[in-house]
Amino acid sequence: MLRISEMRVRSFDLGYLDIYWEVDPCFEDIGDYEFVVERSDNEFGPYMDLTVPVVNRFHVKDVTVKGQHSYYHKLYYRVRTIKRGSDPVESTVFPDVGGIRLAAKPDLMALEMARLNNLKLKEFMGRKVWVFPKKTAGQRCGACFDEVSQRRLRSSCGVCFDAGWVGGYHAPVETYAMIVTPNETTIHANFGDIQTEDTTLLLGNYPEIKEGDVIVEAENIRWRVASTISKVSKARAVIRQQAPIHRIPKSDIEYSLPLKMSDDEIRDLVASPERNYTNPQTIEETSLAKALNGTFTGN
Amino acid sequence: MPATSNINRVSPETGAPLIVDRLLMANRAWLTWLQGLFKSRPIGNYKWDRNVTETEIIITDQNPSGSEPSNKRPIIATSRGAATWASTSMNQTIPVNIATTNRIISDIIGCSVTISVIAREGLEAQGLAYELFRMIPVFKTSIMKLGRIHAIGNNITLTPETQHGQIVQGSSVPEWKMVQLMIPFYIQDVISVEDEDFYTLIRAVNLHMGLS
Repeated sequence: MLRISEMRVRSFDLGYLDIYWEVDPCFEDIGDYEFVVERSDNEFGPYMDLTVPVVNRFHVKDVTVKGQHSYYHKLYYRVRTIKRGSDPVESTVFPDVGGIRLAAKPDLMALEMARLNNLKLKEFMGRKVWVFPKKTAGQRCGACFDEVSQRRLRSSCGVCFDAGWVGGYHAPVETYAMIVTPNETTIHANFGDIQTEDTTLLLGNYPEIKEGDVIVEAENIRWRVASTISKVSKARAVIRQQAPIHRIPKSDIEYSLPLKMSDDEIRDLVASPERNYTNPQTIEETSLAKALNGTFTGN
Repeated sequence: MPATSNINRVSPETGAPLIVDRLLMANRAWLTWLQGLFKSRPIGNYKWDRNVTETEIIITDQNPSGSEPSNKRPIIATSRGAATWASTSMNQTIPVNIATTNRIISDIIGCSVTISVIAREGLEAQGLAYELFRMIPVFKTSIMKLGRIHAIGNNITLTPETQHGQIVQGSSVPEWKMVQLMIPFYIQDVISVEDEDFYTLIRAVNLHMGLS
């Protein structure tokens, strides 16, 4: 099977992006393989074909990016290989997980700094959260979006979850983050009481968040990432992120965003490291042994 | 104002005969109309329900006490504006009998009600407010009858929507947008010595003040 490596996205022109890839040394006839470049605005897809199948080419120019001037709209690419004439079709995507984008490659120091920060969040100060990346492109919501005024006509839209794009949000990414305990504020407005909470989210280097993303806690408290996100990077590679977050009112449609977990997963969910709940003196405790095992197996 | 006056008779439709605050009565009429308007809507289209957990839209007077659930939108809230005697008659009185000192005080009270429409989306608030705006002429007579309102002014004002973050700060999406309707209305209030126990009241107050 052909393997692809050294995938890169480069460009010094706002009108296009160059996608390069290389084939690992192999004995197979490269001409037997077709390459299809796929693109998505979310790392985990869905990916759509950008090109028709090409043979013996290792570079594609994406000219469809012209006119997209948002700082934060990211485009991810991956390459699908198809063995010609195979039945059933032999097809593989590279990279195996996610995609590549126009971004700096983290150096070894950056990787270690990010790893330590992620470890700190996972094992000490953070808790398990889910990040729903908000869609910023794709198909406009026909149920609530007015094409002429370029505004949404109503809220609680079940088609776009009030994001304006069909589906509203990409599939959630599980990660560890620290949410600073907020002040619980009640605004006594003329038309009634408004409960509001604003606080700060501390997150590792992944996933990269943007304004409007939804954060879900294990207690189903849902937050919306606010406008000013602080990212610490080393040589342009993100190491950690900090963002103000605003608690979403419970009557809002974002509370209908499905977090697909099995009944068993929900029942056994532990948001913090399990060993934090076990007294270390009780070394013979079976749950401690389980927790210690979990430390190294990543559970 | 006691409910026994021949002039200020309580409308049988009000269902609240003990209310003596004419301005509150008018405000309740606005609210009752709003609730009726949204009660008749189909489910899923801002249908109002008396049960606050069932309703799809909150319709309330200003500063509702102990409102639960909090943060539910859309909200339609009324608030009464300043009320002023209009001084439409000489000394605000109607001469009854030239041979007696009895008199009837009568005047118009100029007032206004502000209907605030709050929704997550600006156009949603605007759409709801515009619907009220165009329905007021349709139901004007009914509202006047229920609230014992003398007249509802035609110069109703519909404000633009509030800016992002003006009501609640911190969110990256609009979340709370408000459009307001300002409606002038007029009430005729009449105070007559013929009202039950009213003459006794006047005597008691004057005696307390040392006047005969």
